[in-house]
Amino acid sequence: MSDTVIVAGVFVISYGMIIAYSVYLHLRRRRAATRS
Amino acid sequence: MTRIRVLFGVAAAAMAVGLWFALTAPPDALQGEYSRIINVHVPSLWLAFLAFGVTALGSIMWLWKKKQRWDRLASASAEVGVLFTGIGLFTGMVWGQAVWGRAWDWGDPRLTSTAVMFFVYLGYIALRNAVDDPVVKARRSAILGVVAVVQVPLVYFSVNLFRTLHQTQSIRPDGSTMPAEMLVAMLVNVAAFTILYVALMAARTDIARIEEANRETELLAGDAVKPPKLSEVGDV
Amino acid sequence: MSFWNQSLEIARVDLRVERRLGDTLRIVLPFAVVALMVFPLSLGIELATISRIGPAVFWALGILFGMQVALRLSAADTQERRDLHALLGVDPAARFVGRVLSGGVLMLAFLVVLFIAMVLIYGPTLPSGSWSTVLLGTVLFSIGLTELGTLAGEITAGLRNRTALASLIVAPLALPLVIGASQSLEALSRGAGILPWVLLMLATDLALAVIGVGMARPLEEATR
Repeated sequence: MSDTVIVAGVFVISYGMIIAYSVYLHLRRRRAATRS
Repeated sequence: MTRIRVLFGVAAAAMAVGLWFALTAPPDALQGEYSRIINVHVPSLWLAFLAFGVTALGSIMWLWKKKQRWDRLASASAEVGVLFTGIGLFTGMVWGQAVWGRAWDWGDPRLTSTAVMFFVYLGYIALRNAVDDPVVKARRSAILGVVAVVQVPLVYFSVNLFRTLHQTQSIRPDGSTMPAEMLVAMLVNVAAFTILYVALMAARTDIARIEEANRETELLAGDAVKPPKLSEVGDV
Repeated sequence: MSFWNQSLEIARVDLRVERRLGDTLRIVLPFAVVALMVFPLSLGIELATISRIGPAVFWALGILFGMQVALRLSAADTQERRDLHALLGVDPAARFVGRVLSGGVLMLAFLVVLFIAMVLIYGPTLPSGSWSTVLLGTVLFSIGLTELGTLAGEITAGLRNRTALASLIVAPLALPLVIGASQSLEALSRGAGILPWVLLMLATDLALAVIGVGMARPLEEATR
């Protein structure tokens, strides 16, 4: 695996986790709001 | 709600700018493409420590003032902190393996204290999940927060002492001799990640506030406040 | 009753309960000795390395199993006992100190026996003056670990998965104690001074004592 692929993978995973968490927060907020 | 949307919008824009800087900065002569990772690694660790400090602050303030908002601050920061500590450790290990041939460096006190912090966060979150009553939850978490904020610096200090007395040089120097473009890229990302932290915190504390309010009404009125599913209602 | 008398009385009662119900030393200690044996068997390494890693394995197991000693003590505290203490006007800080005293004694006994077992099984070459260093290290180690364990035990009182959760909390925070204790012995064999490590452990013990006493009242409220 070339360096570029590994570095790209690191970026994808890191930013991916941030995006995933943000989406999770959004969904959780929506669920909480409908119950209030 | 709009405030949070705006914050996220700004954060997304800032992160995009940071990403652009990270990907277009000239690569390091020795490290090659791996030098780009520093633009995620350093900001993540900065946030990890910032979040930890905020959790500690929230814990102390809650014990002092007993206002629920401090507990929300502390717990939200712990959750966000876990995310960034995890990213920081992950990126650090890949970078270390690629550039120095070793994913972990026992001579580096920062690494060990970051790992300790990661597990403390996990313990903190696990503790909160195990308690139902919000006041008990807040109180116990706050105490753990105080214990942690005293112990983690001690961990740092002890590994540092270990390194100094063993004369083990850390294989990862502080990297303060970076060329200007790389430094700029890194600082832009530090700023972007900080804005992101603020946005995530705003969202997470808001969620906590709503969920607490829900819990109160549910406890009082139970099923009566839950809207019935339309499909279950016989005649509307 | 003065603060110290309260603490001593609580410690005395704790030890008496332990002597009668006594599963801690009778179960945790043999388990720890078994763990001592697991290492060389699972690693399948030669004698020289085994004797080299002996002390290190001792301290590592000291943390992991020593924690169980401290946690067991907190488990003995029922809500009725707490209420009784509150009614009698027992200072919660005295309860913490008393708990640390009794736990410390048990932990010390546990560690001494474990150390002897390690010496027999691993056959390490210990430099001269080791015994006093090990004793000092073990005392400071015991105090610190008991303090941490007592705090963690109180924080997790009455929760499900209590032992695992408390262990997760204690283990990473106990690192300064492991480093201090193991490095003091290491320094001795290199001919270097043990003072920095002793001071490190002392600082950790003091910091935890201050927290334990300072947080005693909130902790008391937290476990209702």
